[in-house]
Amino acid sequence: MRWLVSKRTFDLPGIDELNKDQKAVIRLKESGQFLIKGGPGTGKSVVALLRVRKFHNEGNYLFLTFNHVLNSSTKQIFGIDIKSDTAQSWFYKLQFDLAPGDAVNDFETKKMPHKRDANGKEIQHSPDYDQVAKRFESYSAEDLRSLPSKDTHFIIDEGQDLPEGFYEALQVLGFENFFVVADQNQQITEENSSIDELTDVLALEQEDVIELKENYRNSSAIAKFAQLFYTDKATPKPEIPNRPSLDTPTLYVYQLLNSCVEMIHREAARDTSKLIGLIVATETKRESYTKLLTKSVIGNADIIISSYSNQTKQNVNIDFSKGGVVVLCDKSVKGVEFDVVFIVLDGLKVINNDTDAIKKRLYVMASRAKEKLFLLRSASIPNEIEGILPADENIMIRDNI
Amino acid sequence: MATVTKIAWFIPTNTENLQMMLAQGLITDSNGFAGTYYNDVLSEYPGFIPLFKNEVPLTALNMAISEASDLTCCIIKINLSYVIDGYGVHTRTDIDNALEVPFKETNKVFISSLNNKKSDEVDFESMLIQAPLPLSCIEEVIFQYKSDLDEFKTSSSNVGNVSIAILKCKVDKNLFEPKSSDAAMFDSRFCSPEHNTIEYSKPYSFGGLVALSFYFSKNGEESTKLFNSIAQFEEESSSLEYKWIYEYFFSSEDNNKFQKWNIILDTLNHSKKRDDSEYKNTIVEFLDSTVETQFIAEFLTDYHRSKVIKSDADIIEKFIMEYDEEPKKFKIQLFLFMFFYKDNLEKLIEFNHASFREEDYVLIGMLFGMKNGFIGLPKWLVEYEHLHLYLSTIMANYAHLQAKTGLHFKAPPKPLLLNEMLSPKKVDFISWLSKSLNLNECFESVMPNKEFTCVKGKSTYAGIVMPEFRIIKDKYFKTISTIKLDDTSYNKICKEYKGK
Repeated sequence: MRWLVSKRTFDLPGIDELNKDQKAVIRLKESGQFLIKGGPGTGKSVVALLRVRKFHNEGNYLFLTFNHVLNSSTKQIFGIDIKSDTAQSWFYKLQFDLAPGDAVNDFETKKMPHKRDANGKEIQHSPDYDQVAKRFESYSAEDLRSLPSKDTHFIIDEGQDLPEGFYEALQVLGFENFFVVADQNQQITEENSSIDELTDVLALEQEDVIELKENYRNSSAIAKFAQLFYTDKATPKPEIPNRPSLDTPTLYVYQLLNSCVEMIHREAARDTSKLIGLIVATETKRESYTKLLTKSVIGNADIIISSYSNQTKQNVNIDFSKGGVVVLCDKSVKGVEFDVVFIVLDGLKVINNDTDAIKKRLYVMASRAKEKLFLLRSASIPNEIEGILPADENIMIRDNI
Repeated sequence: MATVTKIAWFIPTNTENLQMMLAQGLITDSNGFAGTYYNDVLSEYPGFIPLFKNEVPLTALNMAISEASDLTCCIIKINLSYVIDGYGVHTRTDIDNALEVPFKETNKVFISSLNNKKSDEVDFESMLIQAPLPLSCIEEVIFQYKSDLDEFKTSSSNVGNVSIAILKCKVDKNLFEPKSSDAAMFDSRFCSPEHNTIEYSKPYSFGGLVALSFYFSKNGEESTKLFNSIAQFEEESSSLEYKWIYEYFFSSEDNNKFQKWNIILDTLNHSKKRDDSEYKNTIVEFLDSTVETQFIAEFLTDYHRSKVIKSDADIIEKFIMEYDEEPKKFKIQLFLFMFFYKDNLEKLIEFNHASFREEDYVLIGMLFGMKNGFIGLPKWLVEYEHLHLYLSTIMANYAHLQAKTGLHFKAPPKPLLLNEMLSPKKVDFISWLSKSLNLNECFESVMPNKEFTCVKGKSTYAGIVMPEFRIIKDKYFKTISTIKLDDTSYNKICKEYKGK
């Protein structure tokens, strides 16, 4: 048997696959500020990437994502060399470059001002946007000569994970074209913006906010399962067709970890062009699963195992344009989609009785899956997540391996 | 003296609807749209397509952009010479004189009679033709501004299944500024005529099916025969599975041999969403409903849930061995497995198996094509030279044949079939093809049966003697079936064959 391994690329949607809301987004005028809101799988990223295509030839755009993994996967899958970055990395660099002075001698005065905690200590990775905006206001035209053109179109994915201050600071610099896609229920950062805050900060009229409702990514069974963990009251739940499905997510309770590894390998070998996400809760689990999967893959060289940790500060070395198994912590998976997802429940804990927080995490993890969703849990380790998993076999099947 | 021009027939619409027509492969009334539809004249008379003579009423132009202020109006000019049989219905007399001109008892118009008619030879301003029309009837598309045309081209390139390669487009502002009064589009006394209802799902499925059988016809003689049979609506094949598919599309009898399996074809016929695996669920439910097929349902469910430990290669090999032992066995298990194994059309196209026969590829391809429908075909396949219009006409003729409307359309040029290009006399072409696709071992050269002498170890013939090429069928099939022929390669082959 011979497979012609196809590259995973961003497939342009068929015209019949776009609904009127998405088509209205595609027809939006080039300049101005727009907010596209919707749940996971409603096609927000698709319309954002189609917006990128619109400006790509002119080059007067910047596509910003919240996390490194999404930025990396977008770059690889899109097929053309798009101008993209993670929002924070880009903003840190912009701020540093604009600040007057020499990079070495004036490092302290040029660096990003951060918020401070109750003890007056700087909070890392938490820019003080008010102070940054004041700095920006104080700059002369000469200081701003290295600034990207004012007519740059900012296309921002997962815009809810950036605070209002981020947008305000850019507006201070004179930027006016923002196309933001957001889902309030997928906020995973401490500093974020609600849909109302985004509407205010971008000064949007009603016609500038378009809501995408239909779930295109997940099979109905997966969407139904993910819906159980939907906590946000501000945006309506995604519309889900009410019908039974062969794709009902399955919780496999395993006796031996090896049987999970074999199942993941089997799924990967079945179609080497498929991207399989193994999502875990902790760094330790990520490392151990990556090692286990890599070690036992010997003899099946077609399967690519890769992983990334946002704690290492390294470049994302995952090739999303090829299939294989990608092991990631749940904090790194936002915006990324996989054909098949395995969620390891071991290590996932409810902290301070905050079940909403764990539900949000499960919502994000589950809604990454396009076709199949499996949950894995050790038979020998007690798991506090069990309590929030559905008992209804129509929503989640329980099986042992 | 004023010159009387030839009649032009127009359909006003918007660019969103035009793109949908190109993607679905047919000009339809609003009921035939395979995706989103924006209000225009195509919803005025269900089952019919309104055509306006020489100019489009302002009401009709406004209607085309009534649903959203940012829609773009465009006008399709129709070439009726492609309609070789059937009637239309004229809808009004000149609106200014409507009260003075008696309403005709019969509004039937033999469409062929309108060919080459001049404007003053036809006393009505609009007419209805029963939908659908093939895309070959589009003479050109007219835009009001160049910016509208440019935006149409850009937006078409931003979707995966809108090919505009067949279109001739132009800008003519005047056509969007009608001269005559147009309080109403049609005479108010005109009632909606009866029509034979088209069930669009089947023509669209049939278009996808024929397209895939065309693609796999590259594999050899048997594949080519199967394509020619289905494209000509003929039942000429001994294959059980071909008969099953053929009868589903062409037989009205309920008691055919494969009746019980028609639920599978019905499911594929009605499942047009590419990423939706719901059809698999329906198939499994059907298999689970009878004792003799429950084991297939169980196997496919376990396979889908990753519980089958046996490798895919072993599973397929087992099916093939069974069919080798029992050649007359209906291959439903293998066909169904392929839907669970290769879950989309592109992956099926890229798949090959050493034990597959020519007819396996074509027949499985037909089922996948049927499931996707014409609209779900990859753009590169639709852009094979002449294929878009050819398939569109096949779908339109099939639709009207099923609905017994009496309309029939002239076939546009048939796309060239690779196997039919391999004529033994086409020495230069075959030599080129063999080099381009690395097929050298699939051919042998045969020298004519003439006298020759051996000169310095070389066979020497008197005069000019050309060899003939012969295909080594088995080797050719094994090689060509592993080659994915995209539009660039196919169109290049056609060009070379035609000697351009």
